[in-house]
Amino acid sequence: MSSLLSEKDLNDFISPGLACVKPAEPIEKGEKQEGDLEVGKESNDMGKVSISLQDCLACSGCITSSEEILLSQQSHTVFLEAWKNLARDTALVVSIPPQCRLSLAHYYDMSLESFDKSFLTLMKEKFGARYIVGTQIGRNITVNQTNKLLTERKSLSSSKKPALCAVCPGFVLYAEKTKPELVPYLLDVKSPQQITGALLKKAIPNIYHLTIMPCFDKKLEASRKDGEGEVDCVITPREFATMLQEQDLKLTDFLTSTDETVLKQSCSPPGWDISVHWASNEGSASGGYAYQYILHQKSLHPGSCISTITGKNSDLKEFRLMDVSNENVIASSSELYGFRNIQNMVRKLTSSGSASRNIKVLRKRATTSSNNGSSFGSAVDPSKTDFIEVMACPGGCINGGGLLNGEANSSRRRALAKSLELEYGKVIPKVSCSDHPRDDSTYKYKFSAIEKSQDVLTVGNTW
Amino acid sequence: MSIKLLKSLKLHKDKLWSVDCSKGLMATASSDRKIKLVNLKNLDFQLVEELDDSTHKKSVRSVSFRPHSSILAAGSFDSTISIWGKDEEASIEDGYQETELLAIIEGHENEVKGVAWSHSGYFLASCSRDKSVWIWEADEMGEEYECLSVLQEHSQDVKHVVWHPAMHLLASSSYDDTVRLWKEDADDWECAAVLNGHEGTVWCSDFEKSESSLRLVSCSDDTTVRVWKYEEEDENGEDIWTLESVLPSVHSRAVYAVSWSPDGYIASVGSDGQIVIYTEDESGKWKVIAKQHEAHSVFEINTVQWTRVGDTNLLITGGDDGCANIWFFIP
Amino acid sequence: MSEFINENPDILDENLLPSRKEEEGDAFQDEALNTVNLLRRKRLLKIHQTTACKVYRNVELIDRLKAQEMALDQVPDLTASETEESDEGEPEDPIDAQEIYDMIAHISDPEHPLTLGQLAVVNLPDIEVSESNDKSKISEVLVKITPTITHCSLATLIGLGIRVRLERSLPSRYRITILLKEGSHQSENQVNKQLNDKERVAAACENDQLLGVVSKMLSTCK
Repeated sequence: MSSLLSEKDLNDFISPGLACVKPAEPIEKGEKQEGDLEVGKESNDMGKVSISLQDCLACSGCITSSEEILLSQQSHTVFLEAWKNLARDTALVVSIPPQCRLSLAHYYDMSLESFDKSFLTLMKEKFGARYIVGTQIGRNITVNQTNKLLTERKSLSSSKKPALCAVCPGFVLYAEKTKPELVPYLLDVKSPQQITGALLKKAIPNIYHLTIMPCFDKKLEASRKDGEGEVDCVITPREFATMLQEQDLKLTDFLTSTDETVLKQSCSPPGWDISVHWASNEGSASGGYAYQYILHQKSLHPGSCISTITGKNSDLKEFRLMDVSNENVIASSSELYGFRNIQNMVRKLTSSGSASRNIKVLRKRATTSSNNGSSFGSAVDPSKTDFIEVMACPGGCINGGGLLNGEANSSRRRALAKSLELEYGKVIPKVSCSDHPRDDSTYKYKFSAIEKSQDVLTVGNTW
Repeated sequence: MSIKLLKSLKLHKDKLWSVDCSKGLMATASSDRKIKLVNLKNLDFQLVEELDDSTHKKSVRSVSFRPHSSILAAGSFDSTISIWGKDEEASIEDGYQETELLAIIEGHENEVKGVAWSHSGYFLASCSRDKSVWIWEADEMGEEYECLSVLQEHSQDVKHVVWHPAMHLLASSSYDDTVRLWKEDADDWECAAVLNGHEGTVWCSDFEKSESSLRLVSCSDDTTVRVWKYEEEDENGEDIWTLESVLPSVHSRAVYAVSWSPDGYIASVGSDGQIVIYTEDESGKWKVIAKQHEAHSVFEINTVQWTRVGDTNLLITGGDDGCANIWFFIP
Repeated sequence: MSEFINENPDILDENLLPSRKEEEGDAFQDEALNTVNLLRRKRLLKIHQTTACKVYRNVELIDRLKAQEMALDQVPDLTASETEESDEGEPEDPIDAQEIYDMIAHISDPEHPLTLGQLAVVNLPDIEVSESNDKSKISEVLVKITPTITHCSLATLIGLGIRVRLERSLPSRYRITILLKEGSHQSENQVNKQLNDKERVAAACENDQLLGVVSKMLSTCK
């Protein structure tokens, strides 16, 4: 997963010959004769390498560097090129989620309101953006559809438990590429990024949708075949800041005295309520999916109460909906962030190891000592909950690799992320997801385990 | 000063990659997929046990005993780690104690190159070609394992991991030519320092067994053996280490392993088939005090370990000939 | 660099490759040539005329390749005894560059149906042996290879094939170093490091898929 992938890494451009094994095809000569077996007599004009996400995922060679090539297809330079060449009838539409707004506001040392105003003005005046939106409407749909699906599954014993949130592309790609056994657990509801894109395309024909997202994996998500046309370009706050610098633009210059509401209204598509799409919801700074599920379950079970338990480390949390009368757990969900926790969860869910080997009777003694107490035990165990909000980055999206967290040291990064998370809770107005259902269309991913290619080039890369 | 061969044990049919000793017992890991246990006590070197060779599907690359127990961890090229132990509560009347497989730990994406238990027996570290170092926590019985941290800061294959003999400080050596030091912080592990200087893959490192100074020796493809010293912690909480010395050049080819003895001798072995022993003349200055050519005839030597059996100091080396050679070192 | 050294290799004729002008080698080939192969020749020439395929133009080459295949079938005993001899351990004479060349020149390229010798990936002048004459001492072999335009993974595969072949054929006292010829490849250092890392190579040899590819490459060795 490229949770630690940063722009610095992308600066060493690795040429296709070195990392990616998809060969650069030579531009075909005029008359190409059949059966020509000319070794090495290839044209020196190499055609542009075009790689689809599938190609990359199939090659097990350069897990991060293949993504680097794909990622470079969606950099701010690509955006600028595309923007300059936009057809007359194509409108530029920009979307931005709350984590990026907070990170950028912090970077430019502005209040959130000042940032929003400057950002809107900049995009409108400098780039001619027609609409600039927040992503909450998309997120509301994700939350509502997730809750609906989970509630349905709760009554069916056949469904795979726990269901895993598929909003984090880092995790989804990891599962599809290296842990195909996990794919059946993934809940196929699309992320706010994709749904916002789909809504925008529906509302306005002919747009170029640019979005600013906290990490690089979001670019890979935008390139998925099952999301074609929803998002045209993803850039990170880091690239956004670089872009402004290169264009000699100062964000603060665009701070206007116009009223925030008026400004946001003028940039919203018809029918989009600004008090919704610029807001956020209760729950984690990664979207709050686990918490929203419990809230939803609570509304179905009057008289119940929610208890929150923290796990072994700061990236593990569990929510339990308790029936006050008999102390039973009605529903539960968890937040699980970071690769180390993902590893433990994967091992519990796939548990191929221990059962099949001849592990002897010694295990008996161990089990008696650990499973004491209530039926659930007090320890946090995400694999026993109904739903896990999985995020690849430790700390969740508020600590995404593309955010402007200047710290090199990982513990200082976490500290900054923590303070941003507190701000997220305080500063952004909250809406209730269920109050504003937008539409009932289903927005679903099509997951598939990626089959590794067997050709010589790929095999040669495996040592 | 001389090195004298006490015994050569032809234990394996293929390369012998790693040895570890604990409580007078030596474990060996080999490409022939077997793990063998040899009794070092009384210097009779009898083969005690041979662990089930169907456990790992590929070479066993590294073995490490858990301190204060008979639990053994073994890392393999098949990307798993096996954990073995004896039923310590069984009565003595049961006679011959068979070591049993307690657990198989999966997680690494490809070959596991090194495993090491911390001095406390609390943590197990593992490293792999997937460029990561993992830290695991084990329960008392050694049966349940949970991943505490996945450290992905090396840019290449990680070859070896070793813990400090008294602290929870871990050193990892890598194909990226660096050694990284790791320590615990709040609820995760972080990189405390990076040692740059080697001009080739760093194969192995070992800590000084001293309470007064914190030093590390490392060896590399570049044929050098280097000693690094911890200076202090800087204002950002990062550790500062400096290169104290590059040991006198003796090896003509890659050096695969080093070991620092409790009484201050450093031994190094490598592709040129030599064992070289160094001692400190004055603080920071090292000299060669003994050499042994063709320690495993024409074969490369992969591992070296100082160990003490009763009152005797022994030096153990393992080579591509599948032999574990036990040496006396007379200073 | 804009041009790889071995970018447009002229495919070398088999009988132009350096070899010890030897008895057995050519003997059975010539014999075989005189019989069924005349027919094949005619057939090949016909194919050549219709496809204009450059390789097929080199009928001699195809002949040699096919003849080897046939010859091996025709003289099973000779082959068996040859392999036995090499298994016994060290040959009587010290190993020289020509011998190393003979061991590796017939390894197939993983992509094309041609050998490394024919593609000039391995060349006699690029092989050095520092023999110590004393069988109990370490000797060194240095092979420099010149890949055709290749991605890293192919250059490493070729290197791996050569290493496996040499490790299997040479006694343990030989330290084998395989390097890319200076200036022959963009990521020379990266490839060299990987090819000479004994642990990486050992692990690669336990990888079934890789081993399959390597076995195919080595199948054309005599």
